[in-house]
Amino acid sequence: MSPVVIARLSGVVVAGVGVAVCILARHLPAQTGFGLGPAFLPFWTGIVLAACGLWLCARTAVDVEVSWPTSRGFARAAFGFVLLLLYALALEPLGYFMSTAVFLVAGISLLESVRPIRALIFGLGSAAFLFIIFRVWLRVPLPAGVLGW
Amino acid sequence: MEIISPLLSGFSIALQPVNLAYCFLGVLAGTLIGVLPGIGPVAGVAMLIPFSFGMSATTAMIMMCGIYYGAMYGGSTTSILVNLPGESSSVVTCLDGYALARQGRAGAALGMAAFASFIAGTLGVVGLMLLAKPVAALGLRFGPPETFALTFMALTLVTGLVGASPAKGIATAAFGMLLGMVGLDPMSSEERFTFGALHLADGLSFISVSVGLFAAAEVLESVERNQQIVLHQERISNLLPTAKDWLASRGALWRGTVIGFLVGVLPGAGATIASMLAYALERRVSRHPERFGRGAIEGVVAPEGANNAATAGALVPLLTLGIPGSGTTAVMLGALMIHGLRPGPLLFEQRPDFVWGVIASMYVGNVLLLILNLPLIGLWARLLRIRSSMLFPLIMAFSVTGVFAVNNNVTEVGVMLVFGVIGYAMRKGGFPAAPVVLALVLTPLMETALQQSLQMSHGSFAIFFTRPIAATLVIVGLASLALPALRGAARWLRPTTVSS
Repeated sequence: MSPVVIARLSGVVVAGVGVAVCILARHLPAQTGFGLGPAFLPFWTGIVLAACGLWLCARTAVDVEVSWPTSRGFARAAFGFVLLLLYALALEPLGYFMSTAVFLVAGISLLESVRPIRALIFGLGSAAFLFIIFRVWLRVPLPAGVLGW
Repeated sequence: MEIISPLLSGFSIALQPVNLAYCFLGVLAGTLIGVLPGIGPVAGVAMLIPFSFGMSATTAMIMMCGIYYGAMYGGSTTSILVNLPGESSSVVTCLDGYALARQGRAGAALGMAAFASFIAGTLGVVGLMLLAKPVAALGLRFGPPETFALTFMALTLVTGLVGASPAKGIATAAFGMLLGMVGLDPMSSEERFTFGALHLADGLSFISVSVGLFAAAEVLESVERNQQIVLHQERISNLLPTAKDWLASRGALWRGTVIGFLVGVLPGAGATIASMLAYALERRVSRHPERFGRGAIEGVVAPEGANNAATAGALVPLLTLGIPGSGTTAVMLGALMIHGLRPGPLLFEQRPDFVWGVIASMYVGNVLLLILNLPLIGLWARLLRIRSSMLFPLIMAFSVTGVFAVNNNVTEVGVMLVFGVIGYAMRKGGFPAAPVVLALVLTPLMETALQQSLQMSHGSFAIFFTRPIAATLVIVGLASLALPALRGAARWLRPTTVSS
């Protein structure tokens, strides 16, 4: 995708968010007896966003700040996100220690081809380290899960 | 003399074993964050906030400041050794630092960077001590109109200075403002943008948002790029600079310190811009500008001095006016509010133990960093061999745990993930993330001040132009919006490349 198209696409998204905010702000009470009311700042912020979005759409310059990932790179990032999402979802049912260890093993295996035993040692060791810092030292009540830790 | 006695009392606080230990932990973590590409000081401070929950506000701030200026020290190591900036304020250090490393002078570049950071960092703290009281005294004259004007100026300055496109800067600040409006309206307590979710009634947690925007987005982008670090020079020797290096660097050091401190004080500018300005100035005043980029030691000293002095400068508006000037200080302000402390002009009167304890700790921290960065430089260089395949999952596990610890709630992790994706998309589109965090923290204060000001003036916006301090700040803010917009309009008329 060309940088101009990406820049215009981002402009459309920004303008869309701005318009949506303006619509949502119109549903807020405009005035509650004093001051400007809760709708004033959101509405005008939405207008500013929409204006910035339109400005970005209208630009003809090539934007060097834009960088579009390759399909392989994007797939890696997407897989990384899915892994993180699964980690977050598994925290409460599996418990902190087990979900963290599984996430770390899966994470290192995703990023390089590593021997399973090495990945397992890394995952279990790092999860134990984090567990000791947060649960034992800082006394953060981490999710217990089926094992109780 | 007026500052000697409180400073000595500050040292008695900073040298308490617990504060000394957390100062050491902070500078150690900061150096690590600076050395390792993939995580900057904003994410580093945000990730480590849960560590501070059991501490006093003073100890927490000592640790956070240590992370902040420690990252500036560490950032130069990666720039010099692998031509990859550990964080954004060390980008220009790559130019001459890496060139020196290729000439076999990595040791001299690292040593000079450490000494420059130490001298400029220490002088920056002297500047903070001298400037803080007068600024706090000025802050005591601030009413709601001045507070609104100051927050407005901070936001407009940051939008104008962070990127190439003013429209993107303004859009991200506006987006951050919207995030700051989620929850209850400060005056009427009307719910806004909560969509019925009870969790959002208290507003978005700035820790989840900032860790998502900075740490998670950075990791996603690094995973996408699958970048491997290659060390240029394995053995580092001759860390002590020669007399010739010192002689060549003395002007650069002074100029870098002064520029760094002044730019740091300016809301919105911060260490990155300070280092770039210092480098540009050094090149301009040099009798041999052609040496820059080919291994001029001044090209390392000026930006490294500037970014360290800027960290002390950035604490001036934070401690005296309660206004953060950068992403990192915005996160610090949020953390202090969690500890029940609201920085502002009265802080020097009400909590001198806090202010002077933190200031004194910065002298101690700079000495600790010099010790950490000279004899242990080989250790930091070896850390660069940690494979990104181990580093990135660890950063994310640490981030998830830290964000969970904010409210002991998995929802916060979800918020972090959402902002991780938003932050990743923003990076791809070239949108800066720092204004989002700054606006998120400042908006409640700004909106309250706006509403109170208009109540005072019976709804007239003229109040912001009839009071001298407020008028000056608003005009500076409007000018900082207008100038890049005019430049942008001129560029728009000429269809050429937007340079960063």
